[in-house]
Amino acid sequence: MRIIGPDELVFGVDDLEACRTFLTDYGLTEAGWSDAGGTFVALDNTAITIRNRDDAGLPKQLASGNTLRQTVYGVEDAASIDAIEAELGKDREVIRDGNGAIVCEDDLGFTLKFQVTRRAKVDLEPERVNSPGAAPARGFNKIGANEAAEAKPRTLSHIVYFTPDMPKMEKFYVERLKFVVTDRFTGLGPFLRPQACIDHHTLFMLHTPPYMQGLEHLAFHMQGPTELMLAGSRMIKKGYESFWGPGRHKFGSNWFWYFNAPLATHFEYDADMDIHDDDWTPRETDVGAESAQMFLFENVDKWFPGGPDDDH
Amino acid sequence: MFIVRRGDRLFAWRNACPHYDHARMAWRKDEFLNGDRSRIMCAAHGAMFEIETGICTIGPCPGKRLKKVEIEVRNGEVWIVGRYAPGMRPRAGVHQD
Repeated sequence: MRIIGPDELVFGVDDLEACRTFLTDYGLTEAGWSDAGGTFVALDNTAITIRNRDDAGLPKQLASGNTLRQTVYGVEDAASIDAIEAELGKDREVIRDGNGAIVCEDDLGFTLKFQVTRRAKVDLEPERVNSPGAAPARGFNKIGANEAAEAKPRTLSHIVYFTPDMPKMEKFYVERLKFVVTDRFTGLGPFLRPQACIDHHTLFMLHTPPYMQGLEHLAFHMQGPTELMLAGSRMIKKGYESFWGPGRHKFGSNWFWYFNAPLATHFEYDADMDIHDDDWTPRETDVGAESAQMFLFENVDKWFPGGPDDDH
Repeated sequence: MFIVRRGDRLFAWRNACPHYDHARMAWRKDEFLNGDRSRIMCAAHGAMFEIETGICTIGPCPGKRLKKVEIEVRNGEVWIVGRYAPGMRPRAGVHQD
């Protein structure tokens, strides 16, 4: 099952213009807009598509009313789509959409689409860090702190579902679609990566009551921690609402910063996630504030140590 | 906290979704409402609340309600009645009164 990862998420939202403003400020590029909504892409063409909640062309809503209407997975080639169709077609309806992609539901009612990936191979600069004891990575006269840097999300990194039946969901993704468990929070859920993906995780899940089923958050990868901080602080300056972060997770090692969004799910910037192969042995631990991060910071107003205040 | 005005009636609520501790609700400064301005919407996971009662009608905390902040209007100014302190998340290293 040569699935690479999430290519695109499709939402039925309450306020299209608010979402358009948000997605643009978050750093995605608008790739087509009409009264019906539009698509917003990262640097590698992975995307967020928004439509009106009542748009008749969308897959049906989850009973919870959640805004996520479809998760689109990119796979390596047409043969991979055939393999997925053969496997899932054993026990559910799988529809070919006329463009080579297939659409069906997972075992919990989330609508999925599988297509040959839309993501482009991109050749981009990494974050270069000068570390004493090692050869300088950034080189002479090259500046690390660039306030004018673009800070555009590079690729759709991962999603987290609220699911009413976690064992059932894990079984579906691991046994049917051959996702690999990288690590696990006991009782909370597994971190999963699809077979053709090296990232620590593209899917995580949280066990919740049925009325909460839906998307808890999504994340895009940034160039590195500095770009993440720059993007997040720009969001704060624009008045957006930070939910959690910035910080660095333990499982996955990725830096994170989550924001509220009018799409009614959290939008995260992440950076510098671990990569894994089949030699990795999964870890397991209880979830809590301690295991959820190495450290956690809060963005504050700029300050500098000036002289003592005058008293008169 | 935030205040929603409908005509000349004001409804003041703690900026704290009953879904999590310290869950602030706007998606951007002053943006607490849904698209047609009929409901308060929490921009964390889309919970919708009645503006006048604070009751969650759909979303992750159905039946729960927002905490009311008592206010009164005196000569066109809005006053908080009684004691009020912001319910911000505790910050490490910062002394909380």
